[in-house]
Amino acid sequence: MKRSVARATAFCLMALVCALSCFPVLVLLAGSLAGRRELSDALGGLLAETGRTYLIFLPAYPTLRGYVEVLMDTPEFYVVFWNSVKLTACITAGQLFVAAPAAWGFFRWNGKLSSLLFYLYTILMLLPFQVTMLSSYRILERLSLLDTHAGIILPAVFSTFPVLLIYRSFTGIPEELIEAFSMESKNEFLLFWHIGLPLAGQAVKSAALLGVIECWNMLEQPLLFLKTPSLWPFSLYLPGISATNAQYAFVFSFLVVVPVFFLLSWGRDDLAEGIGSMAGAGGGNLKVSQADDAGGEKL
Amino acid sequence: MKLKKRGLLVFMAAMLLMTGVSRAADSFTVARVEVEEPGPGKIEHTVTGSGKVDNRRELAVYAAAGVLVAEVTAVQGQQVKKGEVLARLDMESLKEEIERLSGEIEIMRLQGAARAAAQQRQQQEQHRAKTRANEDYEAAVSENKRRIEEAGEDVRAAREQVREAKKQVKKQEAQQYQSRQEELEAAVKAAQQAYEDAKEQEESAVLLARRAVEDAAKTPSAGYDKEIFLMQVNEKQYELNELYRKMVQGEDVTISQIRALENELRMLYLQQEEKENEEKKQEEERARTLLRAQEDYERTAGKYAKLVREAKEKLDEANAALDKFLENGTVDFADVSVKTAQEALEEAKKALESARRQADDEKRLAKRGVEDASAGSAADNQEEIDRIQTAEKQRAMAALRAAEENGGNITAQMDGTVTRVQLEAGQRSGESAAFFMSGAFGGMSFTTEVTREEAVYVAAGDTATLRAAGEEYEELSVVSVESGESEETVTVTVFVPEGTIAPGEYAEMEVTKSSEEYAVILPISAVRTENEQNFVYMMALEETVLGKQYVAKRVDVSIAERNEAAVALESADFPADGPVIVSADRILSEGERVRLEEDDAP
Repeated sequence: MKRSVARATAFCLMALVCALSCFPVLVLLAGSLAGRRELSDALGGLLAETGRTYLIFLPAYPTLRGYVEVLMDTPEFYVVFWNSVKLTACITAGQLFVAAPAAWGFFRWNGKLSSLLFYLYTILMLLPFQVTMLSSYRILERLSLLDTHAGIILPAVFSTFPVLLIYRSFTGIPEELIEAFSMESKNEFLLFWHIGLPLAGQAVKSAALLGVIECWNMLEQPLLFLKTPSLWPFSLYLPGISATNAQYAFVFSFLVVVPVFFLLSWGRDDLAEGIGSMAGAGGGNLKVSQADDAGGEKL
Repeated sequence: MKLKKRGLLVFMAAMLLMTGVSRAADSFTVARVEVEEPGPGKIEHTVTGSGKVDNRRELAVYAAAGVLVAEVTAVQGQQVKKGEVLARLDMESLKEEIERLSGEIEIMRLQGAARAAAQQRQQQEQHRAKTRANEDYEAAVSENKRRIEEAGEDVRAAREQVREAKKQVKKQEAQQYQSRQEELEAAVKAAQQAYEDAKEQEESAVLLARRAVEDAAKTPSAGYDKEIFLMQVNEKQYELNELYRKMVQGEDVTISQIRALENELRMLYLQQEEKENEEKKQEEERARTLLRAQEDYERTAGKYAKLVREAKEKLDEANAALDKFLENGTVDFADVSVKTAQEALEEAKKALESARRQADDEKRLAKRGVEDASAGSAADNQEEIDRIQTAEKQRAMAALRAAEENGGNITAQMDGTVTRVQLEAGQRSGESAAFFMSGAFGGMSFTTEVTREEAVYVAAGDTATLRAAGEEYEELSVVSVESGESEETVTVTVFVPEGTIAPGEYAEMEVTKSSEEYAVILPISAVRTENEQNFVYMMALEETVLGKQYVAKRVDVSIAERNEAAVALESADFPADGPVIVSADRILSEGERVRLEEDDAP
């Protein structure tokens, strides 16, 4: 009896937390369906600094006019949308292209320099963007990459987090398996391709999904490095929507949530397992600690 | 899993499709414009007028006024050819006159500009004052409205209080009425009960008393004691008589027997006597008891009758009170809260009335302020006077310039004979005609009236074109431009050669004159006006989310000169380059995206 009450209470609490998590999306949906006048009344305090601000949960007169206007009459939306898609796709693909071999290299190459590099990688991962912002700006300026998509894509491609994530997955590969394959072939790429990648598949997918989530909402880098409006992702365009078109902001926001929703629904299990493997793989040790175990040979 | 993957793919495909659709739709929503590069040019002024050709043989030849005449070459009766010099003006004097006149024109222009600036300032001041007055008016109206609303709210609140208080009072009255009625009814009931009880008690008491009286009055039932006594006496007497007779007869009778019987008889008599005494006593006792019972009855009846009467009186009183209460239907009830609420209501009403009066006053004052601010300045004819004077001076200037261009020569506009000479060397030329000529080969004149503004662009010696009866006659000379029949008009006379237009025929004149060279000339459709400010939209390339796009950029301009088709802009306030939008398929706004009209577009 007591157990069932506890279970019911836990269920109610979890349902409440879930509802709260879905709350922003529901507000977005409701706002995108609300009429322009209703929205300007609701957001009067925020946009026009007169009156009060409140959220709309159920539009008085739901209308699809905002969707029609955004989808039909606002080509700007597609420009920023495809810019975001381009940036996200390129960065994610680039991260996987760079991170998987890099992680394999850290996994397979046990030397002082490797350990030092890995250590630096770890530190880099911990540095927030604000710290590296100025140096990034100077480098991009030197390379004439400012105000280009390449200026956003290239630094992001060499992100350290996917390397660490995939590396953790590689550490879970049994040594016997590698030795067995080595008896067949000495080719390191084949080992990586046939053994490493398939076994770290979920980690790779997780890294890709996390990359997508990070890049889709990217704001600071485009804000600093992109001056030309036609290169902006939607995250820069949204704040520029005027008070009179508040409805557009809701419709924009809702529409850009849709692909992420599909993507995460699609790869949710892989994401969970990939992140889980990070915690459980390789005995939970980082390379640094491995090095310590090996007699302080590595840093 | 597959469904989600497919959903993502479908969404992205839909977005791709809609990208194309929105681009196509966008091409219909962007304003299509025609542009023109502003360039240097002149403004051509065409002066037209209708008039009649008549065969006046004598034509006047005018000289620019106010200039010293250096030489008069023609004499009266002299035959002259067209273009032959009739007189020569002193060039120094001509230049001086031109300078003087241009100075005057400049002064007038500056004065006009200063006046216009002052007027603009005044208008701005007026506009500002009007705006402020309007703001004050709006503020006063809104403040008053607020005040009235507040006062009205107070009145409503006070009314509500009064209503509430009355309701309370009514409720209390009703409660009191009810309780009072109940009280009275209870009193009536109690009195009724008391009355009934009293009556009942009276009845029972009277009954008891009456019974007592009746009991007392009841005589004992008639007994047979006396008869028994008589019978016993008779029996004893008979026995005694028998004994006496026996004794007499000598029978065996003893005296003792007789004595015993006599005693018995005496005893009977004694018993009877005692009984009768007893009865008498009882009778007296009964009479006394009856008397007392009667007295008691009387007293009881009286007492209870009094009680009943009193109860009846009380009942009647209670009934009367109830009837009266029911009849009047009110209770004396004075409630302070109603009075207070009514006072508050009166106060609120007074406050509302006061607020309304104050609002009216303030509104009237504010409105007066607005009216004062809106009231334009007194009609000023100075501008019109200036305009006419300027036009006049410009016309004189045009004549002087023409004379200067002609080297100061006054020439014959046609072949003919000088009929009169009105110029004198060494004197200054006047407003009137310098020479009169008659045509050598015959000729006529066309006369028309044009406005003074138009007349600025016509001078003697200009080439005019006449159209009459479907024919066009070009290269005709304007022989004179002189003040017309009214203040507003100027008479232009054109020489009409013989054999061209028949006398009496009506014709249309057209004289075209170009302005000075201006740096910026635009079609008149390019210039828009808003709040008395002229502006044009220039097409500028701007970086937008959609890439480099053409947008309409507003540039305020001042118009130097204009005709029906084109305007010359003051080049100082105009950007160096860039195409100007001369037409659009919809009303434009600042920053709006535009695109060039396609060649094949309708």
